[in-house]
Amino acid sequence: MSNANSVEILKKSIVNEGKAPIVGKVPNIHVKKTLFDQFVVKLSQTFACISGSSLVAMMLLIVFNAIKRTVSTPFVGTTEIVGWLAAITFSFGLAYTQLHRGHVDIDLLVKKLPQRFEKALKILFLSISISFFTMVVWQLIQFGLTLMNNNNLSQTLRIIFYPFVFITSIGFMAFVFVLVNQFIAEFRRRV
Amino acid sequence: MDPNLLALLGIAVLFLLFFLRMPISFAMFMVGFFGFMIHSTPKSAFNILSSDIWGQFSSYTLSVIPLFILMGELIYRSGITEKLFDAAYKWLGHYKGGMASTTILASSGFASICGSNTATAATMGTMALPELKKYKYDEALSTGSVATGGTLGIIIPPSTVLIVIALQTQLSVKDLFIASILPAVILTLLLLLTITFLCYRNPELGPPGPNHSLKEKIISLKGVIPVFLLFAFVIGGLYLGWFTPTESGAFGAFGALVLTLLMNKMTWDKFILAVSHTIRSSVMVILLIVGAIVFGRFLTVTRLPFAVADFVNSLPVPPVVILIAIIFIYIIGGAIMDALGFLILSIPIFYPTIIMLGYDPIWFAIILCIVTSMGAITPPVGVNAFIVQGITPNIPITTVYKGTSYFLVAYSVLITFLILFPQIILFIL
Amino acid sequence: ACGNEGVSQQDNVNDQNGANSEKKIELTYAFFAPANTFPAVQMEKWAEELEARTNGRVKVNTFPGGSLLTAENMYQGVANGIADIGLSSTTYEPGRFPLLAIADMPSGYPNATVASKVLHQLVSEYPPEAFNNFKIITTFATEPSFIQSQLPISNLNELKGKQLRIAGAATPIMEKLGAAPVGMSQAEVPEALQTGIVNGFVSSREVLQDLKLAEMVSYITDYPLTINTFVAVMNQDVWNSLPKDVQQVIDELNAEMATFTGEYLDNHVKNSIKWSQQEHGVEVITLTESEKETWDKILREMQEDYVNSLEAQGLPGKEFQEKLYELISQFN
Ligand code: NA
Ligand code: NA
Repeated sequence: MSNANSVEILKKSIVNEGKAPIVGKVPNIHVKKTLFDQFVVKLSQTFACISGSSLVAMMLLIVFNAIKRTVSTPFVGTTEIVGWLAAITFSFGLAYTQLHRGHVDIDLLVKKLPQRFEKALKILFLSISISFFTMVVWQLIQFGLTLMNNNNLSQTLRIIFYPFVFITSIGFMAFVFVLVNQFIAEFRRRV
Repeated sequence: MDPNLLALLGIAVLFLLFFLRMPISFAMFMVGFFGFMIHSTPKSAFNILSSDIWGQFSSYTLSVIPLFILMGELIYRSGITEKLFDAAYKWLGHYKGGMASTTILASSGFASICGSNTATAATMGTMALPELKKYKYDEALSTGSVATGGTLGIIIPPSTVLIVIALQTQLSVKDLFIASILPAVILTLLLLLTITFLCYRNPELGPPGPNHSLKEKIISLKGVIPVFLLFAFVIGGLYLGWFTPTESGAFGAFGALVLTLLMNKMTWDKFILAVSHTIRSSVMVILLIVGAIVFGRFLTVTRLPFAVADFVNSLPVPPVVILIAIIFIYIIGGAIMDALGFLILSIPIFYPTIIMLGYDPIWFAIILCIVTSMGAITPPVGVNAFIVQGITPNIPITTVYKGTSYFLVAYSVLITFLILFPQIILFIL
Repeated sequence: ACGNEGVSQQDNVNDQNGANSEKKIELTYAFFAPANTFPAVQMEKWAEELEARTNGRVKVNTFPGGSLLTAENMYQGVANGIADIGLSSTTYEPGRFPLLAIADMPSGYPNATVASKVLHQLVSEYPPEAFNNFKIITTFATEPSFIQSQLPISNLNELKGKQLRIAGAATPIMEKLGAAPVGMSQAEVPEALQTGIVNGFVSSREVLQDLKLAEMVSYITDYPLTINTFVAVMNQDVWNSLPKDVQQVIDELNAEMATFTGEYLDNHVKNSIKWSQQEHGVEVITLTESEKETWDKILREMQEDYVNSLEAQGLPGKEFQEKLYELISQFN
């Protein structure tokens, strides 16, 4: 199986699997799907494909290295590359996870509050989260620039690694898009 | 503002945000960030944020988490776990709470190859929760069993927490691993006892199934063989030096993939389903970890933990009271922040005191490990509880905490036992 | 804000007026490794000395174990004011300290004391560009790393293909000598040795006792390899805000700490080796004169190549290297 092919299938299946929960889970959207909605869903799914491919690559690299070590000598950069792949796996999965509301919260108290109050809280928290994670994107870019300007190299392979910091920031960017989308949906929701 | 006061205010705001339903990880991120900003400068808070996110996201050690979750997902999606739990049901299902007990036993089996409580909870949660639901087990008991079973990950060796303690205290990793075996066995038994007791008092929690004939029981074992092979491969590979504990996650996932392909139980759709669910669980876990670290940095810089330590160390009371006070602080610390972060922070503060008071270092290290692992299931910040809730989004976190609270009794009994009879830990050395 | 900056700035104002302020100054000092490691011992000693010599006017809050700043973010974190002072190893940031990397390569350091004195001198004479906006508090170094293995390694042939756990900077050097470097976290080393994933490791020798690794290896090859350089730096603004007399005490501690740390580590290593020999029968293997020359030649060539590549970039590599060897023979 070629890599391109597997990504294709990963994409297709996520779309198939994703459909029902995405519509079902975002509560009470009476408004019809906007272009932005579609864009956000597409973006999250594409990024999830990259995240999943990175995860599989990570697995294969570790296994390959351990086998190579028993047969001949290990590939010394393994731990570093696995770390970078992990960064891609996590950051490119952010948007998809948020799309599925995958983060844990405590609904004990809010459940008992009037709907309108709940809506206000949601709008407030989503707007705070949007500002906060936009700042995270910006700070990750700054961090990458610092590494770039300092000529920092990785410890073992001695190569530049700041591009991976920029890639991570792109993952957070997609995450912010999803938050904005959810903010708009919440704003329009009638209670 | 007085730094200690700021820290206490930060904790209060964190709790408020939790109860107003801000996602836990977001709340820890933000309170940690803004707290740091108020204490120091915006520049320093920005730096904490970006460097901790990058540092944890790109950490080789944390990369095992998605790999272990993937292993669990692959086994679960292929339907193998269903067979495994079917076998368990036929053998143990007619006992009250038998399936919850199976979950604990399976967790302890998994914990013997995995050094992380989060990975253990995530893997077992993925496999066991749908099955427990199928057998109509109480939600609190099911989620509580999985979250608590996960804590065995760091009590049963190998254990990341024991390694951290060993590195900080210069104790031998080997000694700590050996010393933790008996307490781990006792804890496992206590957890099983808790389930049995709960289910005898209220059979609704874990309804007993029908009796099965010996023939049915033996036939059901066929379904256990693949999982047994996979565990044998992973444990065997570790002991034969094929791979390191960190690498065992990748081998577990790879082995699960090969095994399910060989058995003709893996399709592309199932594979994709497994991968996409792995991504969701992993991202949830990693954000919780980084959030807890950022919040922990804020508490550290305010020196609240140090202030509490100085106070305790200066108390004019008998050693045993100080010991209990310190254990109590670890319980509170584990409750309000990431337990491992708290451990790293606090060992240099309390360890010398404990040694000065004449307590055995290895004994104290094991107690610390147990208290720390308990921190993963105590509210409000209980990482294992969060993970279980993330796997079963329709069960509220309060239900999970209700479930883990049953087992806190078992934990308390164990800790009391170990304080009263230190020989339990020390006889083996 | 309740950071210490406010306090120290106020001190500065008083000081400029010539009055010797009695106001307490608080400094935060971060380090990435646990409190019992030798750089952390140094940090505590420095804090203690500074407090004593300023009659308790300066209080230093130490944060070991990476609780405030990690190795990767130490210097950046100090620049951003997370801690006032940060201690890290320049060796951990390849590319950022091109000249110091020459000194980290095997150069025949006999012990940590000499290495620390040499590096202290080099850093004061060639302050790294990366520290332009910092105040350098002190510099010291580890003892050289040595091959510590399960099977005896007394020549390049025996080293060939041996899988050794190697961290960061020593990797290309050990590859050049023919070993097969394996990267893993320090925490995994005991188990990896036990299960045979690695046959040994390259490290300074205090780990034999501190991490009880003597239980798992039997030989030390007595050939000094790379060192790690540690530099503690202070945020420039914080430094500027300190009263003159406090600055003076800090400056006078700079060289003292280099010597203190080197001697402390050498003594510690001596005990560690003695313990390993007595308790676990670890043997020290000496290379024959001709073998030693072969190793010297390979490693010297490597260093020359690196120095030449720096010269090509317009950096004073040659001059730095000459100074390095001059200082080693001077302090030896
Ligand atoms: Na374990
Ligand atoms: Na907790």
